[in-house]
Amino acid sequence: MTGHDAIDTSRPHPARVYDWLLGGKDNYPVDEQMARQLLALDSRAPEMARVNRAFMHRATRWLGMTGGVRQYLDIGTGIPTEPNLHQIAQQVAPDSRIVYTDNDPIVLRHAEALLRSTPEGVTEYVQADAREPGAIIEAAGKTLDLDRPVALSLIALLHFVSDDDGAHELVRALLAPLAPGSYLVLSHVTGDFDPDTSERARELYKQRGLTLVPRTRDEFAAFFEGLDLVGPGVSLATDWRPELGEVVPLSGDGPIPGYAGVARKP
Amino acid sequence: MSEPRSAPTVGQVVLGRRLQDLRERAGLKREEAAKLLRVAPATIRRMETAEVTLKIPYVQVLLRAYGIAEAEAEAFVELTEEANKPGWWQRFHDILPDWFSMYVSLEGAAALLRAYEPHFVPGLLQTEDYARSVMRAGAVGQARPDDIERHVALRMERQSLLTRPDAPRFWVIMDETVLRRPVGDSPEIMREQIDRLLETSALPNVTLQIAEFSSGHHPGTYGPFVIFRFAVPELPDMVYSEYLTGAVYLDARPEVATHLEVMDRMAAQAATAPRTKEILRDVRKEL
Repeated sequence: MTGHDAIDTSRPHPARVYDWLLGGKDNYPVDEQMARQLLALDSRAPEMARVNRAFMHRATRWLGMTGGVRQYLDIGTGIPTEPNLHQIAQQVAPDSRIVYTDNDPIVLRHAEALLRSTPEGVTEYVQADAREPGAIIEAAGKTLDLDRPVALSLIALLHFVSDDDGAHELVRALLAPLAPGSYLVLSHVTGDFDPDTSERARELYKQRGLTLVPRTRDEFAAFFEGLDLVGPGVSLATDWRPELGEVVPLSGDGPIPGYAGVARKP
Repeated sequence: MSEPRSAPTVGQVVLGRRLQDLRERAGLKREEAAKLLRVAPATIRRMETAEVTLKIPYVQVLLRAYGIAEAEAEAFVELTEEANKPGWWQRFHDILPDWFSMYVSLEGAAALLRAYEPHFVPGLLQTEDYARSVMRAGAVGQARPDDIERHVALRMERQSLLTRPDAPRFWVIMDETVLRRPVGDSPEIMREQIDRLLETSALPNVTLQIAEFSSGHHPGTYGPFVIFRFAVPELPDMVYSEYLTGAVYLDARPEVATHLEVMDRMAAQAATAPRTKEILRDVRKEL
């Protein structure tokens, strides 16, 4: 993919919609409009975004502290929001090496301009589509030592990839070249608790030519097949090791409809 | 009536906006607020848009009427006093037009500056000799040598911004023209300038991208502009757009969004930061 051919600012972009929900300013009116529609559908949309973000923080802290991970491959990085993955990883271990990947050149340039490594560590930026795992691994291998464990994170990403588009094959292809002891970190939207709203959200995305695939708990758990889930296993994002970090204050009743999990490659 | 004054500081702009928020939340119209102060409604508008300096007694009356608690009102008054103090750049008031005084104030208050520069190395990254040469070449009408030296001194003083403890992020896209059109009467000036660019782009808060000729036409060709972002979330991004004899400041959402998109598209199209360093080294060798 070469640069600007890939830019489409006429449609909302999930990363920029997410940025708006998090109170960021790196979004355009088309993204704000979409975000406001999601908000009208479910007033807890900004909380969902914050909960997902908080899970990423806690998972990264766990990986650095308990998992002893020093290498990260983050796919679908999104627009920088403090603290970012490398900041948390490098808080734990300043020499941590992070490869950030996104398919959107605008999003990636933001990451490159604003996500700066500690002097001891490395942050590198790779523009690649998640559906081209070979290209991602090849580029990541220039910065990461693939003979040593890597934490592969696909945070709030797989619900934009359908089964037909090869969501499962993608995860397998990305994991296969990684050393034993590597980790897979996932978070994902679900319709398990409010199928009606979830269906309307899917429709909202579809009208804009975007794919949204909320998955059930079992469908989500299938991504971890053959791996060893670390405690507490597949859980609501809010329930994943809350002791490790900030608690997002929630409004309303019922769970925030997102699953999360971290698993180790044997 | 409004009194003549220099350009507002960012603090004054923030407080003006905040005052408007508080009035709207209290459900008062400008006319109603104006009655409390026995002034024209336009005066309230000017206070809220920072066209006039906020007077403390006025602020106190308004905050009381808006139902603001004692402690918060006191904090507001303190901030107002702070914002009304002149900035360091007032020492250069003799050469500093209002429209640029505002720029220096914004620059000092921003947490992120994104600049597009089609013609010159941005002021914050210029060497003294480069700055002097640019000003000599650009000075029409008011080209007094003393003034030029004062401008150079002001520019050099502004640069301390990039290395202060709470330095802002500075993200620049420069057109390749900037490297190709020599500035000054000796190649040494350009060489030193490029060395400076290589040095500053190594700072953790500075990102430099070159929009190469070979990357084709891009949407920024209308002219230079800067987008300021502030740490205060309520304050919108602000766009500074320059023309020959002045500048405009835009903070309306649609205008800001258009500039943001153009800047983003240019950033996506221009050479990446690591590639830009290679380009700079190559150009340096050719000089």
